[in-house]
Amino acid sequence: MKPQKIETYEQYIQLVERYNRKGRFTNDYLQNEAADIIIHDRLFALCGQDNALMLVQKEGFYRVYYYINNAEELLALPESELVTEILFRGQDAPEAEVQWLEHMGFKKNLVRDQYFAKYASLTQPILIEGVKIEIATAIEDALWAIKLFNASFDKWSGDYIPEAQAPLLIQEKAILIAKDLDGNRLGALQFEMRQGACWLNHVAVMPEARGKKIGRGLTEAYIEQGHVDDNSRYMLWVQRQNESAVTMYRNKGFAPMNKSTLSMITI
Amino acid sequence: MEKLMEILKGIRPDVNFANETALIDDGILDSFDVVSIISELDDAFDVQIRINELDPENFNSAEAIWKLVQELQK
Repeated sequence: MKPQKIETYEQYIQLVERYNRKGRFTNDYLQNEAADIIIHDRLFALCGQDNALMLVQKEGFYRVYYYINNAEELLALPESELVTEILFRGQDAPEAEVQWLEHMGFKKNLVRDQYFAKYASLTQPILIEGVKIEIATAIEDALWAIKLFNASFDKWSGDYIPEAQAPLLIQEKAILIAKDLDGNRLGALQFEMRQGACWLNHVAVMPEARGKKIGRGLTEAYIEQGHVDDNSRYMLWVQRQNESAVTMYRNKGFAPMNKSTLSMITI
Repeated sequence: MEKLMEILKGIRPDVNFANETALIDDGILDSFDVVSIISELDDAFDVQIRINELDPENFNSAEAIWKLVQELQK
């Protein structure tokens, strides 16, 4: 079965109307974003009698959004790398969605949880000796940080940053770099203001610098960057398997949002 | 309204729904939140909201969401 290109937003709405039935499972949160994806010729649909997949073309793979009305109906997937994310609340992803995707050929990848904090609920920063953390102003620092981030995350979770974004990130003062007193780079963090909150988008520490509280130092510097008053809000996603990071965020005062994702891939 | 507030608080415990009046315009609710709210409204109040009826004005405050529920129940 070959996916069909969605040519117009009206066509997308018609498909949603057809498959968005009561009791369905879906992760289609594209909504108005779909219009922009369609304009760029990147939205495709794979339709069965009761179930449908929307496929958004990415660099070398497709991101999949699903409507499942009938657990028995399977669709023949295209021979491309596919990734989908089940968004869920609670401890575990809904079994019915996981099972259907597994029957379709997807495998579980990573679980990520969303955390939030208000400035007033955060613990005081600690002094980390021998480490200097500053906003990156040199393009070389931004490029180094991007390489470190891209080496630390999988490309399917939406974490990939093109190197071409380095000048913009410098301009937006969006990267913090941790260096030792000799100027050796130890780690980096990228953040942005979005949805009325300061988002921690990426943080990574060089393997040889781990266990020295560099991640905590970067997080504390990011908190100060986003601080306006006691109500300043902070948001982040963290891999559930990354126990040391989860412990650090919880000790710092971050609380889970009851919002998680399980990524599943066909690779 | 009390039931709605419970639903909203369950979905976004970090948001003060009693005070916020620009939940969509200020980007406080993302699309996952909106779809979760729609799904819970369907379960709790038996109302179905179509995707092309997702007017941001209907989701900017708890009061606006409650008004929408009441209109759909008529």
